[in-house]
Amino acid sequence: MTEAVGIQVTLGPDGGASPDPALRVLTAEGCIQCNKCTFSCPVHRVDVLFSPRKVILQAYLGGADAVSERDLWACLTCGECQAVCPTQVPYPAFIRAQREKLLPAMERTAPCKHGGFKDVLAKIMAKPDLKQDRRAWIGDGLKVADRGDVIYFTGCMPYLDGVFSYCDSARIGKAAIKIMNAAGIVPVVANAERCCGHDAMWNGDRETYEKLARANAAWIRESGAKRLVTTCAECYSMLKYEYPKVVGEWPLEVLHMSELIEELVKAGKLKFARPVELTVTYQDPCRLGRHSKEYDAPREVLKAIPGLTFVEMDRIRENSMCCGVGAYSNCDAATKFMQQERLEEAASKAGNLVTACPHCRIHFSCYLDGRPVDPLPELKIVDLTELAAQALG
Amino acid sequence: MTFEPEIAAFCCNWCGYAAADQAGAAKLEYPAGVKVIRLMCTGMMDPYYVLRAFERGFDGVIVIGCHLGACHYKSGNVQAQDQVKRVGQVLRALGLGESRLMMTAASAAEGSVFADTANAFVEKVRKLGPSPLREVVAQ
Repeated sequence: MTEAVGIQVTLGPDGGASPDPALRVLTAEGCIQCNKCTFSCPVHRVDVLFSPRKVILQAYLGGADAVSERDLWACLTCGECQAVCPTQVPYPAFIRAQREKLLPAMERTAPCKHGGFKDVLAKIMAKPDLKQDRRAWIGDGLKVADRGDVIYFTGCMPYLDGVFSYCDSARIGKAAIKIMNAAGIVPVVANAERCCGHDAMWNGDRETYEKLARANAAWIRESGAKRLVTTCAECYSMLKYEYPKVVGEWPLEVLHMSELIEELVKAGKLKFARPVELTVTYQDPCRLGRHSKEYDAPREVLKAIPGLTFVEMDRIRENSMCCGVGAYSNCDAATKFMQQERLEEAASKAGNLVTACPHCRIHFSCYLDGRPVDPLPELKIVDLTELAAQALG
Repeated sequence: MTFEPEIAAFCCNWCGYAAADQAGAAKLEYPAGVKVIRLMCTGMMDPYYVLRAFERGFDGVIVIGCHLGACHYKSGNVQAQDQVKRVGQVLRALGLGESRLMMTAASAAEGSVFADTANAFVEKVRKLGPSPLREVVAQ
């Protein structure tokens, strides 16, 4: 149980993308129809017609095509069902394989404009002749390099402010560079970088995902760097667990920013001098928590910040509630109710909700920026990296 | 073969599109590469649409709405200006450059403004050359 392997599914000998071997794993060795998944599913809490157990049963009885389009895209792939499953049925991986299989037939364009933006951005970045300028957001006084041992993988962060006006996502990147500089690290921020391919892979667009993965692997190998740091839980799970399946041998050490901060603080290279007088609670991002089994590093960072009062919510770690949207593919009324519930839970504990994934931050901020279903107490959504940079002074 | 720019022109139903209609009725000429796409209001312009146009191989995108203060829905064109400004940053980061995107206003009676804008923008994009994303699209 201790090995951190991400969400995996044992595919056939070809290891390919075909959903049918996955289905065989589900039906022959997996699902015992106990329905634990359904009662833990955040979508089911709002939309009672959606049930992971039912989806598996339908797939078993009626072949893979029996999964309805609605069920296919309602799943958040947050992995809560797998976390409670007594036989560890890899439900998110099953959904992913189904999406891959059914995507050509469904001609999915985009469920919402934000999802469409991310999809098309990934497709543009998958094109070979691209001369990006990914450093415009880096302010004065922050040091980045062209070559070095540590890469800071920014992912789609430089592009997010083009759409999500209420978030200022570039602040996360600035904070990350500030922390690394304070510890004597001058990170590489490369213009050759592409989108990590997370949304493309989870939404079934394997072709785009593999192009992106290969393009990223090429420049990362060429750079000769030994470590790669990312502030995004999605990039982390992709680069650490999914890339090796596509690009082969991958000697790179992939770290989430929280892991790097924890390491630097323990080694005495980073000192939090300024107390941050805030009460915070922590949202486990699904890609960092359930998918990558990294629950402790962010909590260690929060505990290391002086002045900070850290209160846990009731549903944490593998039982953490999803932020409501997975891979930008399912933002709807159900999402809004999930977000209301989670934010109420957070607001009952603290005035600030800390996450370690820029996308959780976006989804929650989007909800607060729009019209909450019910009035919420004052609550701020903060990224862990931002908070740690504040403590530097 | 000479380079003939392909332009996606997002026009609002009430002004920009009517202006394009007026330009046609008045037999004004503008390059055939300008493809008009009608929206109810430029306020529904989204960064997604602009990026999608470039991904499909367009060399430039032009957004034509009502004059300020004349929006059929009060403030859609102001929202569009904000969106266009934001997506400009995205285009710069992608290496396409902001100058491939432009927003302007033309009232329903200004067919000549539409034709002049289209001509001028096509010339500008011609100087910039084909979009770096264009090669991949089968023409």
